[in-house]
Amino acid sequence: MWRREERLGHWLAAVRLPPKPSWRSKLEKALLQRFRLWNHPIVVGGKPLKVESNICSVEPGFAATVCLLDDFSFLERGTGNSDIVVPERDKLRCAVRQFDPLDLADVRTLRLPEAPKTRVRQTMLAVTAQSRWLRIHFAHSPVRTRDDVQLKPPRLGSGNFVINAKAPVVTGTTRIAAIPHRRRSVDLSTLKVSEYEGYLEEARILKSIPLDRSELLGVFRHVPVEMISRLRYAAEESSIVYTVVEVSNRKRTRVHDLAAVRDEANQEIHLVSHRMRYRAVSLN
Amino acid sequence: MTIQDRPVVNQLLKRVGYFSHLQMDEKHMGAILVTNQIGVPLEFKYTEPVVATRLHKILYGPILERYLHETVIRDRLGREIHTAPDYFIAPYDEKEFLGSVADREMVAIQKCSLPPGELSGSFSRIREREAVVELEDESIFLRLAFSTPDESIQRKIITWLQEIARTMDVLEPLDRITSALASICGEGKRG
Repeated sequence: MWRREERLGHWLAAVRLPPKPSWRSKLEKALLQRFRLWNHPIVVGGKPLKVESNICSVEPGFAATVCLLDDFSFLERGTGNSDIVVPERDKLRCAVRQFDPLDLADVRTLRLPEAPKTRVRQTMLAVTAQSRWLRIHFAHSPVRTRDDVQLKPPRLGSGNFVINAKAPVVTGTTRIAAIPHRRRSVDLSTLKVSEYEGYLEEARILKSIPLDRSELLGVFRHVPVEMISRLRYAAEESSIVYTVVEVSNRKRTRVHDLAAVRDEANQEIHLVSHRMRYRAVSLN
Repeated sequence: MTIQDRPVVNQLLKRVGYFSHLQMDEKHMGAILVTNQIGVPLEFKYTEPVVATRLHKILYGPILERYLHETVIRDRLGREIHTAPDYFIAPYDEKEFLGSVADREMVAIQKCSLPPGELSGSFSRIREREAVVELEDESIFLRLAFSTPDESIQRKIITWLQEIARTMDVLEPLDRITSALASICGEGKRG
């Protein structure tokens, strides 16, 4: 009895105690402590995301499907089910269907496989993505200036890579003087009859070849017979090849028409210069 | 042809210039030969082979050949010649690259055949810079391409050509230049 009165008196005179927490806040606090989602890193396709605040409270051991809006549409490509994975001990798996903005994600659907055992406290999900950045790394390419690509006239001796506008010039007068002159016959069909017979007549006089045995093989114009050191007749080309002597001290010379006449008796070929068909040339 | 013996005293001393360009493989060479009236060399100068690399071909593009012909070889040789000829003769293939060498005009020549009576007179202009000329003694025709459009200079060149054709074969020295350059180029290859 005393105890009842004392309790009653105490109850009547007692200071008002703070109300007991409601079951909702108790549940929320317990779930948040249990899952600690606000600090857990969440991995999206290998890139970490961070959940800042509580998102939902589910019974442990149940998987949840969360649709987030972000612009990572590519996450759905291929698998269509990119997971947000929290640490394994929290037993929460989220499948990402869609993303819109980077900084805020809304829970659009939350499917819990066993609804009767699940209590949903809050549907808003604030997700702050960690700043993602892609380092596009290009190696610093060295810049080179090559001498061989310049378009201005290159300098003397600047190497093999340039087209040297001052190509070395060599004097080769002696070299080309040693190269024999080659003179081809005129077309015999263009000769007048008198001219044709004139060459055979010269062969008869100078080489004693009778007219009926002689054959005109070729006629060569303007041959400097006085200055020739070596002379050869090339039958296969109907041409003559000759070299000339040094002309430095010679003032004048003559160029004769030369005929190649074959003696049919012995098939010997004679080169006959026409004594009257010549021109005088000044060399001074 | 009648017998002719023109007096020497009336003949002016003539020097004949020749220019030729040779491309062998990737090597470009050029040479200038100056001869007297009978084709005997008075001066011969040639460039050492110039090689255009693949990079040159890309960078210079279509102007490469002209640059090689004119700037690198012809102009360079023109500055080195000491015996000034009256005019320069070049192979007809060179007609795209004609120009004055050492202040002397050039003419590209080529033998051609025409039917009898086709040519009225000793020569005929067929274009502004081209003509056909008949050599007096040899009954052959030459096709000419001039470096200048000036008709008066062209006539002088034709007269000069006909004159020297009376004492020499005007085309033959070009063969000698080609032989010399091929020989020099071959030596470089063996070396």
